[in-house]
Amino acid sequence: MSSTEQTIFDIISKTCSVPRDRITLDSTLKDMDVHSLDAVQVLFEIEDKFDISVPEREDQYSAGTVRDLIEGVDQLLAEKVAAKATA
Amino acid sequence: MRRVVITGMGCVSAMGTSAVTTWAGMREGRAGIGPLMGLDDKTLRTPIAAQARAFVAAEHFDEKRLVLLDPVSQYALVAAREAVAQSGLGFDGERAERTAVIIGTGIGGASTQDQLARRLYGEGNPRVHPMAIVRVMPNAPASQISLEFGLRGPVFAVASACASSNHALGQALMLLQSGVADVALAGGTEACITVGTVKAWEAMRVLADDTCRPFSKGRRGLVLGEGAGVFVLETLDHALARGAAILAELAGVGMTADAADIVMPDASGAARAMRAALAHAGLALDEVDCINAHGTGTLANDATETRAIRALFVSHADALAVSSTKSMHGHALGAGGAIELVAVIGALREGVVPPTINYLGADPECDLNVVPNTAQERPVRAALSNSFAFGGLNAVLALRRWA
Repeated sequence: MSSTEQTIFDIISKTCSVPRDRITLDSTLKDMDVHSLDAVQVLFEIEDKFDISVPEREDQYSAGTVRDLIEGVDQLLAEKVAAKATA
Repeated sequence: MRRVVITGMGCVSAMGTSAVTTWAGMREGRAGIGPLMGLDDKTLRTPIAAQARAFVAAEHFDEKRLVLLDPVSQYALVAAREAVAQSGLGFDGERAERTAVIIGTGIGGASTQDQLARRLYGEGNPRVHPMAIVRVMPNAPASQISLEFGLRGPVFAVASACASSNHALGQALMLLQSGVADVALAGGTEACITVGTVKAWEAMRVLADDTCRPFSKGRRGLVLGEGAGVFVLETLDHALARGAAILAELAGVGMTADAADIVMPDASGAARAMRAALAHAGLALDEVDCINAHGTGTLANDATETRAIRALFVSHADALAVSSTKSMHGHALGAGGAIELVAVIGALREGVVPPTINYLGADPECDLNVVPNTAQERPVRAALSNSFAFGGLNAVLALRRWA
């Protein structure tokens, strides 16, 4: 399990009161009966933890699977590193 | 029961600095939403808002007075002046003691709070302005109106987020019906376009980035607005005795809570509030010709509100004109219902239902006549005005044409 994956599993579990063993890479937040307000809080916790901005209204982050979310966050982290390197 | 009528209206909104200009803009479907301006923060993501751009504080207040007034009170005072002038009322003698002031606000003095926090925590400046408290308190708008006109009856603020205006107007209606007061200045005010408030709304991910398109396909959320609406209400006997020109009858109010969710709207709570307003007003379903919808432009509200209207009105639902003027003046939170009452009074008096602008096409979940893009001319005998707030609080006003 990558550290991004680990952190995101922790955030979902804590923010949404979902037991860790119920979270899988293939489940969506909706599958886990996560309330829309909790989903917004998950994105906030991710932004705060990784110091990134998660784009609005992109299904990859809000409506996709946990795998989509992790891949999206890894991509945002890579863009952040690249931006720093060119700055 | 004593009947209650409206004899004066005043407004500040993104459409203009009076009820007259606001209604003229609503009738013609003018856009009040524009680029967000005047906020000094590079991290803001929101590009648009419905700001009261034409409002210049110095045109209405001298410097000494302005020290005491957050914009939330400035807007309310300017609206109250217009309403009182139109009503022709003076407040000499006993009338002042029989006049109530009830003004709703969702937040209160948001810019004062924002500036205070910036100074203290951002700039490390420990000196806070001595008038901060009297500017920031949510009852400041009601108190400032009481002070300016010398009104000495029941005066207080009402806070129920986006339903604050309608709760305030409903409370005033009941005070007049019960005989506690003969006249009331009532409505709502909000000055919420501050860095802190806009960022907090951004964080909820409900703000549109293009514009506000209630009931439309492709709608992307709400757009924050600001302003105030204040109305002179009086008992029918009081108005007739002085030969006042009557704008409309405020016939009923319905108030309910969902007790379901802190943010997600609930169709049954909304429908119960509309039903209660009609019952209070003694109106039948088929007497209602139009509804000023809460219509925020979020996916959840507009679909839920449509279901609520269909559930209550059944076969009459398709005969209704249901528009959301938030498409023009944005979502002014605690001032929303009061600004929208300008639209309802205009529709009752002129037989013109203002449009829902920015409409791109039908959403099957919002399949009422939402008056897309252009106003509709039709006689309006009675109307409802819906406000539904975070916290699951619903307040609906019922109005009857005065003919």
